[in-house]
Amino acid sequence: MQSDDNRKPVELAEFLRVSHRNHLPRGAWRSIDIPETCLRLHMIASEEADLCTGGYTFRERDLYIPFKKYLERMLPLRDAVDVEATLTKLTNHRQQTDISIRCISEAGSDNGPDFMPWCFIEIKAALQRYPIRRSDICNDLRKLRECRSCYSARSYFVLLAVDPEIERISAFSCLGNIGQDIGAIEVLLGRGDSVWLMPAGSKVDGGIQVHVWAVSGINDFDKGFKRYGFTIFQGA
Amino acid sequence: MPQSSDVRPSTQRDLMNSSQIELKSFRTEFLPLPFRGFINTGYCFLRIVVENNKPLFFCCQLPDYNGTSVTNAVEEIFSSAVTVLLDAKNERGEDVCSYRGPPSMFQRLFRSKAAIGREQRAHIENFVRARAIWVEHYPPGVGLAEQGSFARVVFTESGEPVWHYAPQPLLAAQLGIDEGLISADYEALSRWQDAVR
Repeated sequence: MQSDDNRKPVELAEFLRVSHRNHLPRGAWRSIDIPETCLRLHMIASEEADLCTGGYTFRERDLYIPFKKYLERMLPLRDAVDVEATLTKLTNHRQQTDISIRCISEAGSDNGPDFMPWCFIEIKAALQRYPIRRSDICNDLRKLRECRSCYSARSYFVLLAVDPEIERISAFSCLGNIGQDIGAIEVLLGRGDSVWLMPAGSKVDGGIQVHVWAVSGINDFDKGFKRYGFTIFQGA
Repeated sequence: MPQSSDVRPSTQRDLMNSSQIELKSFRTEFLPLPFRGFINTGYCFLRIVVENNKPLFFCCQLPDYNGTSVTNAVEEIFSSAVTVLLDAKNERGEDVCSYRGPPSMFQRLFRSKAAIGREQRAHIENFVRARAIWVEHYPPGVGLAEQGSFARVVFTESGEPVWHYAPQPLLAAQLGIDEGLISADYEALSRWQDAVR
């Protein structure tokens, strides 16, 4: 059963406090639109922008902790989000992803070989002082594709870029027609391999843009490919 | 309240030709449009505009409204809006959505008239859904963004909605439409409860 509120973030504790306790004695099903939450990076970037010049001169890694905190506010357990978790199942055992969200049952456990995340989020920030290369994007897409198959987890790629960088990155053609594709596309990464991308959300405003894609080795973007769902038990 | 109908993307697609579907120019508004909310009936503002065989739906969250949001109920409202358009008639009393050519020989031989009508309607519905442009708007002070927001909502093949937020002028330019089509009279919106009472 769904709760009658907004899809936007709601503090779990707040949610439980209100009258739903009386109306839904068996609990409630909630889901969170992960790509939609990634669009929050637009606001985080605006907050991180240089107060004097208004320029986007911060580093990509400066976004991780504010974004983790934002995600944790929406999820049922606070220790479900990892920053730069090591991915022991991948070919390169020392690879890391920027952000990962654990399955509910895994929250709080050690990041060992049995680490079972629900989704991986890889962020690429093309800002004023830190332009990115095509190979940076392709490496992330390959990694996310492998994450999807090794961990059976959702994979999302997030591009945060100032307007002039979007034009330059569009020319790489490894992300399709940025802001124009509306269905799943297969993009070539070079070396004979390819990856499937499904545009999953975007926000364009104030000189900076955020674009989110779901990533997979095959076109398997079924219903619910964006949703992290969980049940809230009233007795919890 | 309009009810959504099942879409049948199967064989009728092969039997009928999209070029035989015509959407006549049309414009209508609902203030408010009732829809099925998660717990109670929800309300929103909806404008439907058809130009050049393309349907545009402009859906707006109402001020002073605490029910299911247009974001949460987007699939439900979209289905209702499509049904409204399929049943709509223009000022001359003609169906806005119509199927031009005669039934094929195969259809005439093996289908009843009622079955052909159902197939044509399903085909038109698929056509409308595929070509629909859905714009979601929160006026300033309504919703989480203080300045309000505009988003094009795209439905994937699996029916999952995807939001693309952009400022109003940019969105209108991207869609190739007049900005006025995705603008609302906020004062009129604020009186939506008068129509419900």
